[in-house]
Amino acid sequence: MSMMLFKELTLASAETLYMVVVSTVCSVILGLPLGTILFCSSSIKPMRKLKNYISSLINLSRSIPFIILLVTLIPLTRLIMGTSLGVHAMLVPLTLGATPFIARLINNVYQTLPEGLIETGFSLGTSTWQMIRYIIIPEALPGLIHATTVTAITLVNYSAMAGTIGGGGLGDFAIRYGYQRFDGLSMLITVTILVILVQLIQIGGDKLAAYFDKN
Amino acid sequence: MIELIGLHKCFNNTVVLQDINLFIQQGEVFGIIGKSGAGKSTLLRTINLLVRPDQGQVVINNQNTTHLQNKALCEMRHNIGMIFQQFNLLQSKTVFDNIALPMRIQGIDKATIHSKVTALLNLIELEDKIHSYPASLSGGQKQRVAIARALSFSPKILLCDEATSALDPETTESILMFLKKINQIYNITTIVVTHEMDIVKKICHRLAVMDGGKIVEITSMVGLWENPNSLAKKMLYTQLSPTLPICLSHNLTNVKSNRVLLRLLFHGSSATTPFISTMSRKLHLNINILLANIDRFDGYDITGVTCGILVVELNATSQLLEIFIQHCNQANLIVEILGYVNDVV
Repeated sequence: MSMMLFKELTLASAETLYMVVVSTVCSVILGLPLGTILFCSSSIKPMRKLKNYISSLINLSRSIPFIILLVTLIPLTRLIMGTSLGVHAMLVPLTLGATPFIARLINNVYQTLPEGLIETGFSLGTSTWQMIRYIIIPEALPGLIHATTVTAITLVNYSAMAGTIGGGGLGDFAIRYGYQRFDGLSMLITVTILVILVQLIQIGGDKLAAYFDKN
Repeated sequence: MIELIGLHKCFNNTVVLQDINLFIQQGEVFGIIGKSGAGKSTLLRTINLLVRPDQGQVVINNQNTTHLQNKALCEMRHNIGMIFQQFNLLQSKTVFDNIALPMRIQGIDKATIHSKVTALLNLIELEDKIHSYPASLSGGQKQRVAIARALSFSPKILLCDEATSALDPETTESILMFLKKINQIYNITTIVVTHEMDIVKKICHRLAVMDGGKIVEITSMVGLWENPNSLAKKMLYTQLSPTLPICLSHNLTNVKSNRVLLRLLFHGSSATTPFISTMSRKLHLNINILLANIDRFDGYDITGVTCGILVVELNATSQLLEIFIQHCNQANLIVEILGYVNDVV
């Protein structure tokens, strides 16, 4: 493998890492409130309309295949980032694609909390906000970390797709060298890097969740 | 102190509470007993409005709380502690943080929280577990922490929802004694929901029996002896006497014979007189004691009531039996003929 190819591979890996990390953070920032509101509107302070609205919105966006979402969001991406090309631009569709996904996961995590917990919170005289802040989030933290881990891994997958519409990263590298140039070795190396990346994310997530899990 | 007036509650067209009227005094330990599904947990939850009644009023300290919302509701709940069968501690927090939680929610300053939690840990005798997580505690220890958490905002009322049902008998005993102790120290009105008469009789001053969403009897632990039809008394005796062994009961018939099986229930002064031996001598009766048990209940005062049960077999003609029963009635014993033996027992 030439030096140039090696450099390009390193750059592609860094780009993938960048896209995954930033879009994971952004989708947590957007998805955590969304998932929490969804849960609260059904279990803490029942608001059926709001719950149905959020739930349908999540279902709607999750039913669009990501590759289609990527193309559909190009105008929005251009509006926000000024361009629809490059790793920075890709953060928009990646984040918007992963947000409903993580919101749904977070809602599921909350639903696995012991039934008596919310009742206990009420009996202590908590407001809805205090319930979230002092009881639900601390108790759900290991689950929330697992949800984030799954989302980050999904984003590795998504970021490869983003490469096909000019996003850069390992996906783009694999398509250009591995597929279009029939370079089997490059393809193999890319896949290996992705496997290692996913493993690292999973192991890291598990370790972190175990640290917070006092059960 | 706590007044429940004409409460009704339905869940999905099923009536869970029906015409509940109850008055609970300050400092009282009040028991609510009934089978599962009788509505006792729902009734308990109306007091801190975890369940809002469809009709009727909840009045606490002369304040109608039934329709409180938001902030006022939270503040009302700050005066009512609650403990649960499953303890419901936060797994992610240490013993210290669990006990401190209600005070943190109320925004109390750190120094006060620290001194209060330390005092409570001392009370529950778990100082060495201050930094442990609930997962490493035993059931009894968890319930102690839950009690400390409920006490941390110095409530006037403590609600216990089957608080000892998940514990073994020995731990149950210690938790009950602990509840009794804090009732005495803090004069905290305690309401205990349970399906076990054993618990009620150990700590309660008064009790209500629930069945099918209704209160069917309200009585004091001492007063139930005066009432011949008391359901609570029946439950006490049931709890006191196991059912007859099958080898005995399947020999019993209604065909009269000279061998009769009687159940005698006694309480108060009659429990302390040697009734059987007196009768045996007086009537020249052969009395065979098959089963006996005795127990004692404490009321408001220390006097308490002793009560007991006897299952005896008499060798007597019907005239002699009648005289025996008369003597029993005079001595304030409740007699029940279980049946006659026509075969060898």
